[in-house]
Amino acid sequence: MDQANTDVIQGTMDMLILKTLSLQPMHGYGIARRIEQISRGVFKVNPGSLLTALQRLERAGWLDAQWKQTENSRRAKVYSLTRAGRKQLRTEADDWTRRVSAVARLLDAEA
Amino acid sequence: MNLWRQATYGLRSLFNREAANLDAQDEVSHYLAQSAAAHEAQGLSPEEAQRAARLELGGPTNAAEQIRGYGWENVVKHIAGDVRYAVRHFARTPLTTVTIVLTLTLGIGAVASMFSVIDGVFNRPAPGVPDDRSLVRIRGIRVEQAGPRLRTMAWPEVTEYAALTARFAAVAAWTSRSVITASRDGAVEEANVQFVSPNFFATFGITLVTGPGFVRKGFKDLAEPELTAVVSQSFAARRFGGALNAVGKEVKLNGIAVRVVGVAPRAFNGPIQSYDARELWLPLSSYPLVMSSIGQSFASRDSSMFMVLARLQPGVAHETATAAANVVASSVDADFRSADRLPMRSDVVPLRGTMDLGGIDGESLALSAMAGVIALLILAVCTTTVSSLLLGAAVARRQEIGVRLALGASRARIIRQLLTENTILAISGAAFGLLIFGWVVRLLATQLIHVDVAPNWTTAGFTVSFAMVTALICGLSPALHATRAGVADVLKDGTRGATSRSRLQRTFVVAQIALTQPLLIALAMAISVTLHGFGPRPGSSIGDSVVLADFESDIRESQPAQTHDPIPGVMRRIASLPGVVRVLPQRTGYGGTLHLTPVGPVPGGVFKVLTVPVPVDYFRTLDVPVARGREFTAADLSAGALGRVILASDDATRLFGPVSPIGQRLHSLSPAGQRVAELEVVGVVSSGQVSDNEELPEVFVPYTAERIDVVLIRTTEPAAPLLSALRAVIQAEAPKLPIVKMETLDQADRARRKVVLQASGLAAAAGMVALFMASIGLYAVVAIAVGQRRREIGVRVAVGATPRQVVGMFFNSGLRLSLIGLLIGLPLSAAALRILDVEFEIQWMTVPAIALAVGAVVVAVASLATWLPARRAAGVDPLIALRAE
Repeated sequence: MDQANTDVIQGTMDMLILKTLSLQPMHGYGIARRIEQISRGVFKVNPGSLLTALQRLERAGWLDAQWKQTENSRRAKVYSLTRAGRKQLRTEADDWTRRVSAVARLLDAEA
Repeated sequence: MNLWRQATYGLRSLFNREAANLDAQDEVSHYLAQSAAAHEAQGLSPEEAQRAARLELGGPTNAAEQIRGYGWENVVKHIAGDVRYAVRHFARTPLTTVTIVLTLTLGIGAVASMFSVIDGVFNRPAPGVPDDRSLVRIRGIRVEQAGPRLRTMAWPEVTEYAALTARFAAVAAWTSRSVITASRDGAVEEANVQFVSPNFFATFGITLVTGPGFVRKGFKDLAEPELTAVVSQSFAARRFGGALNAVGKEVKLNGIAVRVVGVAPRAFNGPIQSYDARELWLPLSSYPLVMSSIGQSFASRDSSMFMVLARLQPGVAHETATAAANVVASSVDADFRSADRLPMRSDVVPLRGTMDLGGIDGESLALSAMAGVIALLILAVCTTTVSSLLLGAAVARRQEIGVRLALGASRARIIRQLLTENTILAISGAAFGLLIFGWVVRLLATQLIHVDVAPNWTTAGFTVSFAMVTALICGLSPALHATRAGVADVLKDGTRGATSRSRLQRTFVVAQIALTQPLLIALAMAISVTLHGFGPRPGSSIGDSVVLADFESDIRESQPAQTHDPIPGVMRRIASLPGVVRVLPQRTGYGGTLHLTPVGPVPGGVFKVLTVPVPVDYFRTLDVPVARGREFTAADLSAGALGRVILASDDATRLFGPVSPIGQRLHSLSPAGQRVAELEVVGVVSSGQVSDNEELPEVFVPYTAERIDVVLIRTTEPAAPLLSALRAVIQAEAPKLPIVKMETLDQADRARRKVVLQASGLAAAAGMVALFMASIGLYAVVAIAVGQRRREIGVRVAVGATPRQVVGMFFNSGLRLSLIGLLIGLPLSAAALRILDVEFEIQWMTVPAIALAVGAVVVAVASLATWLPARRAAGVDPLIALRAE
């Protein structure tokens, strides 16, 4: 059975989360859905990795988290980007662009 | 900010585990709910939507665990788990645990204390001296045939050093004497005094605790006699009840009144470290009066009596200063020519670390080397014991480790566990060891005030970290060993491979015994050297009714013409007292050595003997019966060319065989073999009651008592209650005659024994500790071997071995180890003896006896340590042992 690889590219999960949250604060599931939507289903986020990554980014000081009460009396953790997170996103994005363009140049040269 | 966040988050989840768990669970369940809702919106039934959501997430508990698994607090949690496990393990094996901790405690405590003393002597300023970096000692050296020797210097030479101002910022001189002074309760006592150049304290940079100090303070302010003194704190406390009371008071030294003008800092003991307490410092200008040497000036070229300390100018190296000092020394050499003139030199050495032990290359170095070697040996014995115990414990836990491996623990996980245990052991050993260290140091600080042994945390830290690192390394190797074997192997048969592991442990034990032995031999030698010459005194059965009165003689000696000797009068007065049987002059110590050869019927060889001068009536006074012949009489004192001798019975037999020795003649010979004099034997006393020298036979000769220092008083009743009355009588008869000491023979013996016991007690304790540790190691080896080989023992017993054979098997192997250790230790012991020989003059005759005794003790203790666990082998029931596997 041939199935397209939907794993998030290794090492880019942090950047994707930060980018998603730079638009607006949201909770874990929201982040996963948004990544899938924007990537048009190319990436499917593994919930376990996502939640662990959120924990890590929060600890690193790039995300702020707030508990909100939802309508069906559950608690939801809503994440937002901090200033440090914004800076980190810029760094990672720049880095990514630089590397992607390098890969693209290499592939062009091949062709 | 970032670190802070990490820390607070970690702490919060560490201390509020419930809340952290709840947070993780809530986040996961919210995610699930959202995900399920989305699936439902796509048309799945609620149940199906739930299932799909769970499938995506991979189980809510798992996901929550994953979230919680992030962060440093988890490491803490794991370590805490390891520690809990370790503590449970320790509780299960209390004996091993306590032994390991005790061993570490003893080792760390002993070594830290020892290093602290060495450090106090060599790496820190002398007590009471604030800054000694630029302080040096200018040592006078005379080059003799046997090698260079230290010499004292005359005042003119000292002034020449003081003139070298380009090299020395200040030069001070001192000379040590002892004087007589009255204690607070009127008793006469001796005190150690240093006569110093007036700039002495300024050169040291010492600020007196109280008082203005000497009136004149210049190096050369010596024109008029200044009768002042700076006293030590202990002297001020003893005599005046405190430093503050002392200043302005008067003390009489050799009968001369001296005013106290200052108190030295606590523990200050003069320029050179010494075990004698220096108590007073007087300006040099008072020397002629106090020491009654008016005729002879200290400043003359002939009175060479000074030692010199100096402060170097900034930037001057010791070598440069030595070169300059040598120029002075050689000029002194040139204009101070005497008959036995030998080349003179000088050198400049740091003042720190010089001790009052003489010797040009510092016997102090040998002493410190010995102490250091002993300390390292103790440390080595201690660490080998610990590692052999740890190894034993790890081997015994192979089963447990196998089970954990089988349950999926990684090898790293188990090694971490074992290392955690070792760290706990090392930390607690170090903690208790430091406790002991602090205690010993406090004890030393009160008992040994002349060396600065403040708690030295650098030393202690070094020792502790050394012990910890060693414990960890020792623990690592058994941990690696124990986890190396495959799971199946371990579980299948606990005994296979045990031999290779216990071989390492056997090596440890052999090393330990090898290390223990030189330690014990060195200690036994030290004890025997200290004890030497402390045999029973002649007539000790009446020791309580014989009083020795010791009179100070220096003063009388220095002015023989001016004073008449009061002692004969004192002796007559004492003899007239009721209860006093006899009063005799007594010479302390031996007269000298003689070479004797018998004349007449028995052609004997040449005998080397010690002469012991004894007064008339000596043996009668001490209740020693004269077996044959007679005692000396007054007539023997003026016997002219024919000397009279009394022999001990053994020596009489050796010299003359069965012939009666009375009236026989002896020739005394010069070392070259020429006859010097003829002697006649007049009496024989029983050997058992007189001889207290094992090396040479003793020959008694008449004591003519030209100058009497010591008087022997025989009383009818026990004399101890009479001492104060006797003292009063003597002081009434001769008020100016200082009594140095007055005690019964028994009291003197007790005092000496006490000192010797104190000194040797410490040494013996160290040796016992070492032996104890080695036996623990041996015990562990045998006990573990018995435990490991239960199955084998079971088989042996089942096929007919008797319990005695089984026990013998283990006993022999343990004993073999200790014998190998003894053998390997021999060269080490020889090295230890060589070091000891530098410090004490070893009597090599006693070495084999001591070596044998130490060997016997080691073998006996080793046998016991082997036999106790070996006995357990006999208790193995073959049925149980074979079934258990």
